[in-house]
Amino acid sequence: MSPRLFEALWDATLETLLMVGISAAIVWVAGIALAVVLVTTGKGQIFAAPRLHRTLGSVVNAVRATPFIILLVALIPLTRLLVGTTIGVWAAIVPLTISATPFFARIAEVSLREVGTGVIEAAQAMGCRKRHIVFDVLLPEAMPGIIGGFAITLIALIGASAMAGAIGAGGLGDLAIRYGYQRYDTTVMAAVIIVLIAMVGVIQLVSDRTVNRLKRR
Amino acid sequence: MTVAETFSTNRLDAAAPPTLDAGSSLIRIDNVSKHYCTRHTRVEALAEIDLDIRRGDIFGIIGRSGAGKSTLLRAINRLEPIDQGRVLFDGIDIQRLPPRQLLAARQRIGMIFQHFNLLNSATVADNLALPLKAAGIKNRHEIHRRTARMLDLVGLADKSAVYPAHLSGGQKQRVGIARALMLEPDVLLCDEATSALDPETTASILALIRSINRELGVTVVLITHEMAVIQQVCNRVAVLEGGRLAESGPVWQIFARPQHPATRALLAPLTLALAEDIRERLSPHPIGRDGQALLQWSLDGSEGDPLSLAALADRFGPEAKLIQSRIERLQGHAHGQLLIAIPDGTLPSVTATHPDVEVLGHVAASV
Repeated sequence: MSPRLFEALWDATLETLLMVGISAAIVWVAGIALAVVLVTTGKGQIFAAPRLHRTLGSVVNAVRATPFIILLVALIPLTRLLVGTTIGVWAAIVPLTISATPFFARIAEVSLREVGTGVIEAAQAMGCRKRHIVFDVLLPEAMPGIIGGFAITLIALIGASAMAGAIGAGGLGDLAIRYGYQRYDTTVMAAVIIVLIAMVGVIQLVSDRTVNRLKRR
Repeated sequence: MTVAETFSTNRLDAAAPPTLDAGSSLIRIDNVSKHYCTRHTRVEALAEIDLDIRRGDIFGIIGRSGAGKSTLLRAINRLEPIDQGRVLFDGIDIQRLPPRQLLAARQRIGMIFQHFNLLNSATVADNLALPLKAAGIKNRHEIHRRTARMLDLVGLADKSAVYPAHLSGGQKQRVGIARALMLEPDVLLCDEATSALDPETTASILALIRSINRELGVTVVLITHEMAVIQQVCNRVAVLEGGRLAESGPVWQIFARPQHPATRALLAPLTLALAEDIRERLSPHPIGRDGQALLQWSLDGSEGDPLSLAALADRFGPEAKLIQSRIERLQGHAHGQLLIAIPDGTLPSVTATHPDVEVLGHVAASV
């Protein structure tokens, strides 16, 4: 591999990390918030609001039902409004975030639901405010599951970021398609795959370790 | 430091004078009803319940599963809303309090649970800090001081940094108790607190509950399906059956003279059962010349002084033999049953002078 290609690989790796990193940070906050709202507005829950619950549920399902490549195109007007352009890394972050947030929210929702009603009742019985129940009971208790789910989301984000190459976002996926697919350069293709495997491996390792540490308590 | 010292110093720095006005009403359940609707039927969970729980009581609520005892207990801190009636806690109508005052009232009512309901993600100390957080106590030294003191009280001083997963069931319930007492409540609600524990641990938890009641003056309301629990700790008891109050009163009276079939059924495990070999040989008619009559005499606690052996001989004659017996002391009253065999020949005179003796039947000479 020539130094020029190596440089291209390095740049593409950084672009992918940037895209995935920024999207992931937004998805972490927005997804957990959405999951908490989904769980707590359900029937009999602390912020019970059936209509809001149903509406949010439908929106989440709608976004999740749309294939990412279509979402990418459909969101172009919104992307232009938010970042002023429809090409490049920043333009890719908008659809990445919007597609991954409901995905992560559903996974986090499952973990939050697994927090027993007993613990919530205990908190209510001691006179906890609802925000204490959310931040001191629900979230810490569900954290191992949420972190495990976040690793799945991150890996899905890396996959999706390859497709964002279609709108000129750059990154590893874009590099692999341009060199590996269009120019039959299998070395680049292989190098990209190795970098991706390494990324996914590191994410899974860190996640597993964290979850184990939390669960061993 | 004893339990009492711990609490009294706590009381002082909380600047709240003890309100141990023994005997006055603390919780009034006033004509409380509640129903659930399932798809097809309407279930009466509670129907017109009236109860008065006094300061200093260890008040037991007993019933079979589905009798409504859990619903009733949870109505006291409004984990469960009710349809009708009032629940007065220290004169406050709990079920109609606005949200903010409800939080304040709940901070005066501790609660422990069958499955402990501790935070698995938090250490023992952090579990105990949660109620303090709820009450807006943020000073770390204060939190540390109170947590350490309460752990000392329940005998877990060395477990502060441990996670609940590493504790035994009994230890978890002790943490539960410590957590419930963090805000120095007036009352401790126990929701089947010992049902998930083995008999030995149950006894130690009940002993802790009793000492908290005696030494700290915390009123206790507990629900259980075991009469043995009522017998061990309670001074008063209410029996629920099908959402209705079957009967209520001092424990020794309910044990001595159960009025309701539900109470008798719950008491059955604690009453004397005739040994198998004797029951097989029992005949309704006198047997031969040397036959014996088998008598059951129930002590209902009204005898006053402990039973003297001489009085027993006097009552049943010098040839009486004690076959089986079970006598418990409940709040200073002797309660239990004696199974006595006497020669058939002396039966008429005994039953004539002591009509409260029940004749179970007759057996051949050797019992």
